[in-house]
Amino acid sequence: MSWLALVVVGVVCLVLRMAGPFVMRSRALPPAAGRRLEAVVAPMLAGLVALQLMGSGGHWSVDPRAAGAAAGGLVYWRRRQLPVALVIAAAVTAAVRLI
Amino acid sequence: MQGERISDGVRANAPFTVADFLDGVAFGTLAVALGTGPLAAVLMSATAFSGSAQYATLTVLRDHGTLVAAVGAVVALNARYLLYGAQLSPALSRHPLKRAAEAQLMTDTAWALATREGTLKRHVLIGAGLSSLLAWTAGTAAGALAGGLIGDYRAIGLDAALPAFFLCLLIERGGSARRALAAAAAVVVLARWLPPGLPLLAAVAVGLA
Repeated sequence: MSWLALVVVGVVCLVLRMAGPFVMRSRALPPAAGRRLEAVVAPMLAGLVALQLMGSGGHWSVDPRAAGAAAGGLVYWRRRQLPVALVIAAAVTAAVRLI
Repeated sequence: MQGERISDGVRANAPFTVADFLDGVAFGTLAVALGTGPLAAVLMSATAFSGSAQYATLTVLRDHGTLVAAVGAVVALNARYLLYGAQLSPALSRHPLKRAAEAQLMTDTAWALATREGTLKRHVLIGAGLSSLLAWTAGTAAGALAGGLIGDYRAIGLDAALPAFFLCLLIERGGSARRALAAAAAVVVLARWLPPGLPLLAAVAVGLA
């Protein structure tokens, strides 16, 4: 992680938080714009899952992390506890690697 | 807007504060295991203060992806802060510095607690957001120290935490399953040809289509 990336991402998050109170004030976004913003989230998260599960270099391969992530997702779906889900994901991945 | 105290926000946020600390530990551990310096990881949590943005940045930069792609991912994931900010705006302090500080404390949980029951509760926002910010940053610091002790993070499966994190967020946020699958497919196909990170912008396009 470069320091440049750190600063840029920090500033982007800051700008997103400040835009409402300082630029838009109490003028609300049009509802249609709000819906569009929301619609981007699910595809983005799915894209990040896909990108993560691919190995480096853009090659698709099913590796133990897929089993781990699936197990973590299942745990989170049943009981909404993120830290537990992440620990399960890591444990299942490690176990599959051992086999 | 009177009759509510900062301590109300702290109390209402308590279960999430514990979860934020543990999430912070996970982020700090992973960030350091993936090669981020401990100080950088802690500073990132204190300033970006967004799990999804921080994990997305780790994901893009893992493959030496472009910063543009990382920024695209962060904006797409956190654009909801525009909505929160516009909604909370009338309740925030008129003093510019205080207003900025209060805006920085916006989280999904703090926003939800501060807008509950149809009124805007500034002190609840401050109490809830400050609890989460401190817990997330302290957790990151604890995790960063732990991460330095881990030799091979793959051996304990820590690298699965990233895809699992995004999958959990996807489960929580919901949305169109068809678009999510289309975006995942687009990213997989494009990743063979495009520089690392850029395929993610295709996911944004799928969302806007």
